[in-house]
Amino acid sequence: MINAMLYTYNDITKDVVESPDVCIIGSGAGGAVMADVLSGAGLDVVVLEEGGYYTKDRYSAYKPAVAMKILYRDYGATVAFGKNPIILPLGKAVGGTTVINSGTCFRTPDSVLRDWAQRFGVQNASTREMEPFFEQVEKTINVTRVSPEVLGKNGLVFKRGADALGMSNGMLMHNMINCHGCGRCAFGCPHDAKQAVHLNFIPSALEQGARVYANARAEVITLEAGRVTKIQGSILNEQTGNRLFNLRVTPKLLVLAAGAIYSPYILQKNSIRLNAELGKNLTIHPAVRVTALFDEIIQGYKGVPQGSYVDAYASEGIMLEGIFVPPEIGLPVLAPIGKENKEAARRYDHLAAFGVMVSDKNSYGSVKVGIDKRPFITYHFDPHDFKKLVKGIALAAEIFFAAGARTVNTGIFGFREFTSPDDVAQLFTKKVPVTSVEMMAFHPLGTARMGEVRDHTVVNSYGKVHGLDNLFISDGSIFPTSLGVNPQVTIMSFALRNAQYIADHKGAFFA
Amino acid sequence: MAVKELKVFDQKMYSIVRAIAETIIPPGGAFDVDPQAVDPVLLFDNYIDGLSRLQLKAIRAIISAIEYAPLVTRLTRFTKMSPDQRLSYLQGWEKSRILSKRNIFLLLKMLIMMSYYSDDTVAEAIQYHPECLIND
Ligand SMILES: Cc1cc2nc3c(=O)[nH]c(=O)nc-3n(C[C@H](O)[C@H](O)[C@H](O)COP(=O)(O)OP(=O)(O)OC[C@H]3O[C@@H](n4cnc5c(N)ncnc54)[C@H](O)[C@@H]3O)c2cc1C
Ligand code: SF4
Repeated sequence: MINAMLYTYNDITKDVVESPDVCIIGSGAGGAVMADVLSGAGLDVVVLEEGGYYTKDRYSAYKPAVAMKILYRDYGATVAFGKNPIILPLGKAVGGTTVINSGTCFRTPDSVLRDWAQRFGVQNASTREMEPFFEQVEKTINVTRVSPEVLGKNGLVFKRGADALGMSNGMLMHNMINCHGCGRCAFGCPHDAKQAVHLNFIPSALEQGARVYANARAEVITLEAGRVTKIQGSILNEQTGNRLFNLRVTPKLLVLAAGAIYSPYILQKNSIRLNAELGKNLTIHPAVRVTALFDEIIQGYKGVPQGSYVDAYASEGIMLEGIFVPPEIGLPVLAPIGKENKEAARRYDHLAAFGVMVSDKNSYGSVKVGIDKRPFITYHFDPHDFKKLVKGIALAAEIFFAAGARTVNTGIFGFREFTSPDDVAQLFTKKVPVTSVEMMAFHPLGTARMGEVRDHTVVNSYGKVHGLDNLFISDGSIFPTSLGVNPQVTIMSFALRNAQYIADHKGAFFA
Repeated sequence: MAVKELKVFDQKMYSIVRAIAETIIPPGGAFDVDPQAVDPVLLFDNYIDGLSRLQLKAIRAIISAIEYAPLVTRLTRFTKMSPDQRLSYLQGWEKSRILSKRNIFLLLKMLIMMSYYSDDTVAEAIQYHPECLIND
């Protein structure tokens, strides 16, 4: 325990009853920042987090597969259904998805902020106005550029290829201190080098008096006369998931920070529909992994898995970023059954891998309460966006060949491994059905859009739900469109700004 | 294989999954490990302990489908086939033009291969040595 006020199921011996100024549901990128700022403003804050509390000592002992069972929701296999199901992993721990993310940091692009102002009426969020919030977040989570010593050969060979083709590229910015380049970011950093929010904003909030309950799931939200009056839930046994105790919180203000899937879900489950836009407009930033075989030894699992990028086509919404996973995660998708997969396993040291992500401009998804009462996520991949994804795959393949790859595996069903750059043209001459590509996505956003255009948004420019006085949303849900870049800095910076707004208007909210 | 170590599968399910696992990752080839030293099915079984009842039901249904579907097309069960027949039958799932069939099989393949390649003996056999680039 880092602080007497971080409680896990082990510490709790009876039902929990709390009446704080603020209750925050979710302790990830959005929730942790809110907890820090609001407790720093002298408010009494309680955070409820469904996931457990894990430290480096615990997760450094986990193999990747075990980490996925423990630190992710649904063993890392949450699915967005559509023509082709897309895996959409979500974190579940004190620190939320930041505990298992890759640590890449981007500010919100200026063009995106301008678009939000123009189309959704988002106020006071220009690049200039956001600057101090970006700066403060970057300082707190220690954003620095990945250094060549920890980049690893996976990033280096891709850079070599991009340089050969004259494509703009570089090392990514990351939130890390003393990175060892051990390649485990997505399974919990065993060195506490990656500055996930349970290492900064959460401890700071605890020091300021906030109380954080891990293994605490919020289930029922009660609204009376246009105000949230009560949150009920359960303290869960971390091993079995069984309910141990009841939880009852009666706050003056509720901040929902359960993420872009679970925030709309929990509201819908409680029949709090807010408006027709809630749960819609989901963007996920679809991604694929392209793999290449080299004669030289790469050992892509050594080094920061997501250390470098190619942004030559970023204006078209195509970003290429490093992504390398250990054999037990990579091989099942990469290698066919039979002796071939053992051969692929033996060649694992010679593989390099890079990710392709595309902004979802016309694609859209939704979150609803499914018939099994769990979130039911759908996603329609627009053909234009899908074309961009195929173009991104082609670019990655060209870059790998320019770097000296012997073969490139696009992972597209029905396409054999490419053995020369000439093969890449097939991606444009042959039909590539959306059902033939194995996709993943890591950046769900947009299910409770912010802005002042009420018909198209759920919360106002500061995250306050339209029409309700004491309910804010502070997580990936509030962003009206895809960012085209990784979202954690955007989520944290808006949380900081919106928390500051609440603190500045204490008189109104906590009279 | 002691039944008591299993948390989810019964002995029969275990035998079917074992046959599937030995087809997905056959003995011999690029490297070999002592089959007594590595039991991916036991790891798989222990790994999925914790899924919801509905999810476990779905996994059992997939395994049963693989075992019994050939009764219709090949008049035999999966576990009664020769190793070559098993391979070509499972390749039919893996390379099916029907996306859902492919995905169902991919799920099973992932769980089996993840269990297998997580094992330290296998990691050693493929010379997978994850290390830091910078040590303290
Ligand atoms: C593998 C992976 C890699 C990624 N890499 C990057 C990256 O490199 N850079 C980047 O910018 N972004 C990355 N992301 C995305 C980024 O981490 C997330 O977008 C961000 O953390 C989302 O913040 P959030 O506040 O919306 O939700 P989360 O951080 O997901 O926090 C939500 C929390 O709410 C909790 N919760 C949900 N429901 C309840 C409930 N009913 N009661 C109590 N608690 C509840 C959840 O358990 C969770 O801990 C990655 C994501 C993944 C999955
Ligand atoms: S590469 Fe290793 S040390 Fe560096 S941030 Fe990732 S997990 Fe931590």
